[in-house]
Amino acid sequence: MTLPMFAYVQAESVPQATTLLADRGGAKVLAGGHALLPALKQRRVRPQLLIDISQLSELRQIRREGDTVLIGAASRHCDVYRADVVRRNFPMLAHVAATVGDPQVRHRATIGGSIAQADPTSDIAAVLVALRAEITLVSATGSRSRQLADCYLPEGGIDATAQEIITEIRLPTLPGDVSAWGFEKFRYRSIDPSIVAVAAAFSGSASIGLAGMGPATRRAYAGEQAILAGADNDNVIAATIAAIPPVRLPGASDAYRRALCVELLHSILRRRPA
Amino acid sequence: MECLRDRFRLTGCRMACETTSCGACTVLFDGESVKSCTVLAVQAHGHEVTTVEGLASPGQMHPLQEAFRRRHALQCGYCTPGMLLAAVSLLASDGPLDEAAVRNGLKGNLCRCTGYQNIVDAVLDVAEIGTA
Repeated sequence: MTLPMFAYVQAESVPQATTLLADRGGAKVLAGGHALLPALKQRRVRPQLLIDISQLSELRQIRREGDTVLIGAASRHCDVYRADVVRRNFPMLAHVAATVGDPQVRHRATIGGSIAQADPTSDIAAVLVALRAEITLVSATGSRSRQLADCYLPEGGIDATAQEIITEIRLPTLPGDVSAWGFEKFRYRSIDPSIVAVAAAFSGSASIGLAGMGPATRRAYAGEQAILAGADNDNVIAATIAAIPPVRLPGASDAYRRALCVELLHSILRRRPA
Repeated sequence: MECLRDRFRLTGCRMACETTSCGACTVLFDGESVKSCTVLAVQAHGHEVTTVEGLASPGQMHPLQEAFRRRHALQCGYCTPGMLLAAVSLLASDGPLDEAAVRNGLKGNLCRCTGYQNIVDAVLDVAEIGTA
């Protein structure tokens, strides 16, 4: 399985990368490459130019600014879970980043790449959605920040143009007890992706992210509202499930996914702080 | 991976799945395990890459290689270089290693022969001695 021919540029800055993206047709951004390079080998994508942003130090910083923790999009999963500022403020993210793929994958694959892939079964995307992450998208003509949950299109994929680069993930620090969180997933073997995963943050008002429950990662707004309204766990779960359209993803039926989602929500909610 | 094997003749870097699944091509990239089938050679410019050939001086064996021999942690040997380098990286990381941590830390490396038990035993041997 050989790579096709393509041109390669190691970007020296974000503006250089976005300018190249805007000016050269058929270009793609390369970060950790753990989705893109296998896709190239399998000829699922055929870019003429790869713009490598993986070594841009400006995209690998993890720091706190006021009430926000900023994670550079080219931070590798191991950078994320090793960062004190992540472990202190978002232990759920540190926990889940430390379980992505396997050690070799975590030493190379990036958090921005995971978002850009828009894999609906991504554990890390469910966690970021539950933590109300915003992403910053930069192009040659400007930059914008959006809630990550709003970037995932209902039909799958991510609402970004081919000229944009995800540069940063912005996480608002949570009021209250940051250790009040729950993450549960189900898969057949430890090397498989999740069939369904549920991530919930309970400090502040509750927020819930779901993986494997649709063509895109989704936030369970209906369930969150039920929690806010003081509903008991059964009703929170019923509200969450009722708001999910029929799921057509390979690997498991809609009914099976719903049953799994109910069980995972149960195990998280019954440990929820009062 | 192709560069390591074809250009530098470092054939200890094994070619197998070529899609980041099996771990046979694992090398150390600045001391951390990565699957070399999913790193472009040009991305290694300015970085240090260690293959199994560089694990010990010629004629010598790394303590982990000794442990693999002592524990009979291989049969056909095809996955072994990747296992060794993944384990070196694991042993260099923080935290105590128990059996579960070793199994979890080697989950990116597939072995079709041994059933893993002797590999895990060998890594635990070295973790306990603390010589890696």
